[in-house]
Amino acid sequence: MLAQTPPMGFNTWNTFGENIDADMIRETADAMADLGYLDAGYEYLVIDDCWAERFRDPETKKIVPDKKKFPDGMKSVSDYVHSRGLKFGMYSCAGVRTCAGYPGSFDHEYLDAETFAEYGCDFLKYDFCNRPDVNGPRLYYRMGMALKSCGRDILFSACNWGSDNVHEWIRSAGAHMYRSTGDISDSFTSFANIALSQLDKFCYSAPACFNDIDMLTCGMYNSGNVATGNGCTTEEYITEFALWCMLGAPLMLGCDVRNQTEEMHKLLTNRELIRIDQDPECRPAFVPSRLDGSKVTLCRHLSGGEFALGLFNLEDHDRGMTVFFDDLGITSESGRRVLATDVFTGESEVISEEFHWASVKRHSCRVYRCKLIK
Amino acid sequence: MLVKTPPMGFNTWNTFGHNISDSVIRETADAMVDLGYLDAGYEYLVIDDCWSERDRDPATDKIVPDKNKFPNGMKSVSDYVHSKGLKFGMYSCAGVRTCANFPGSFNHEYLDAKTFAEYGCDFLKYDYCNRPDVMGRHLYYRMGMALKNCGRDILFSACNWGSDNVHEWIRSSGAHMYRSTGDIFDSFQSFSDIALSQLDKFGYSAPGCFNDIDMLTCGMYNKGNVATGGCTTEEYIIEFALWCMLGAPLMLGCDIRNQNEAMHKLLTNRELIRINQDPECRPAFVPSRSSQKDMVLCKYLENDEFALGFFNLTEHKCTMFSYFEDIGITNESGCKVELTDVFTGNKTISSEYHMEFIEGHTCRVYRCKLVH
Repeated sequence: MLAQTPPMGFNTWNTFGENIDADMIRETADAMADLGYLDAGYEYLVIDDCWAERFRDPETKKIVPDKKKFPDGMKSVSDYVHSRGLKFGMYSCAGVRTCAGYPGSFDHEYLDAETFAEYGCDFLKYDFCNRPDVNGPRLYYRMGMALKSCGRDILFSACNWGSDNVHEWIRSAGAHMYRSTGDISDSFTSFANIALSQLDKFCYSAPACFNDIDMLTCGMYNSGNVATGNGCTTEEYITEFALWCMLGAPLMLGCDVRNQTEEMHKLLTNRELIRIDQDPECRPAFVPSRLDGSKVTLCRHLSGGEFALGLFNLEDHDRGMTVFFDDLGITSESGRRVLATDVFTGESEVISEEFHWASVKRHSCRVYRCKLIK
Repeated sequence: MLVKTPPMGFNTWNTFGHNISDSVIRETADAMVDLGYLDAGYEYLVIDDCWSERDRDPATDKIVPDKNKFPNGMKSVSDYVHSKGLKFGMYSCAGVRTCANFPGSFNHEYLDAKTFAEYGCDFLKYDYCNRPDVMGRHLYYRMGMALKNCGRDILFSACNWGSDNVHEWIRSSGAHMYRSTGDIFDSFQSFSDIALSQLDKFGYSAPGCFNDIDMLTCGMYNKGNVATGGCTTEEYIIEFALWCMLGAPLMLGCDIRNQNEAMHKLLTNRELIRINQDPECRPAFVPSRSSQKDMVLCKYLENDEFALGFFNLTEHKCTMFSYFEDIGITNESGCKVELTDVFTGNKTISSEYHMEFIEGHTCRVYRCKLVH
């Protein structure tokens, strides 16, 4: 069964947009395998929009890979990706044309699913542009059923940007992850707003079908396809990555993984954060006390009796933040204290008070792995 | 501990209420094993409310098992249940008293979790009566955290009857199943109202934490603790088939020591249980063009299969359609559907749509796949 934990990988869109080709994919596959990303859990290499010719083959009706970008076809690219131990992902759209105006799968769902299976595809991102006035969920049931019957296990990554109350029905359509918001762009405001907008929806995110709050922008530093002129500081990218991990969201890298600073590489392969994201129980995080401005405390039950605690200061000034353990279900009757280990520094402390207080810089965060001790 | 598919077992409440005892539990354990219920997947034997003395032990503050009902204590019962290859479940309440007015776990969550662990308990149903004015979800966060730290894997079965929009937060508390409605009673009206009320909420039921629409009344025939008129055998078939199509936990509520052959066959129907326990645990959906009273449900199963259920909840014979277009099977696919009746094993092949003409209060359920 696919997607027992949030899917992890890389997607071309954020950095490359339409500037994709076979060499760039092969180099990215090499980087994922050689630089430790695959070891850290990133297994899917996904080609987003703009991989096809503008028109279907008039005889076979099949979508045709762009002959300039992919002169050896997609199977050859797919074979290379697989040879590096990775899984291969592609993209299509529920409408007649993709968002960038290439052929979409409307009324060709079964043919296209078969084509993707022939390519050796393991993942399909399925967008929502340029569709006729058809019941939106129906379009995902179509591709869901087509993928189920195409003869290959293909992870179905639905991308309707949260339309039609997607969380209410998408699991029944066979999707393994589903975009719940509009597109991310490379700025603090963008990722913070996206994450905040889904805080009350993560309880619907669970094994086999996860809430996808979009590809990460960490490491983009205002270059690439979704640059906004602002970019983020390293500290802000740390906050973004930690938020995605605390929320148990899919981790799809959007930066150019071939060229990252040591700091960013260390962040994106942080085993402790990834271990929180990939916890086998996949419990959603909850907000223990009421939201206080944009200071967000998240608590998340982990397997083995542990839990994670994240303090996110999304405000523009440094703040003190307090967590009351009673709000986490730890009563004075329990007679327990909290042992908290900082996931960045590895430092542990025993907290004897009934609360934890920390000073958190603007746009910054603290994340702890915790357990109760006597 | 990850609960990968909907929990299955037996619970004392529907039939026995407060009339529980050491011998009832042991005989039920024997029946679960000897009559093939365990083999069919029912593994938890759960003792509901009314198992304890009226007051806690003044010295230890622990809940004390009722000395008349359980003269050998709970560990002895638990050991017997385990010796049969079953898992052992118990009951408490988030308030100061249980619904039947025995000691509840409020402000004793950690002590009680430890006590249940000492009993060798594998499952805790956690009710919602008689609580102080504390935010409801906090009470489940408390017991969730207490169970995680009691030293034993205990399935946490939350039972707040759907209060406080339970589906919006319960998964985060560590619960593995959660009651989403008021109590079931032994009538067609009761079980059909309960199931219909949750049709739009099963999209949130998934591995790790399942929507629990209460213990089954199948086989009770108007006897026991929740009798309100009873159902016909045909109606119990609808109830069981609905629970299976919805992927709900299957907790038997009848006296399994004494079931007729039709009921035993129903409750151990491998094909229905296989739909309920499908590893993907996809929720069923209502394809667009059916109404609630003559209701078609479709549930994607693993591999290339899916299940189709036709439930005629009206009192009259009626014609029911499933248009394959509504479940994602287009003309372009060039596919037909092969339907296998889960009750008879009969196979039929349909294209574009499947039609049923069935009596009131009956159902048909098919395991389906696409064929070229």
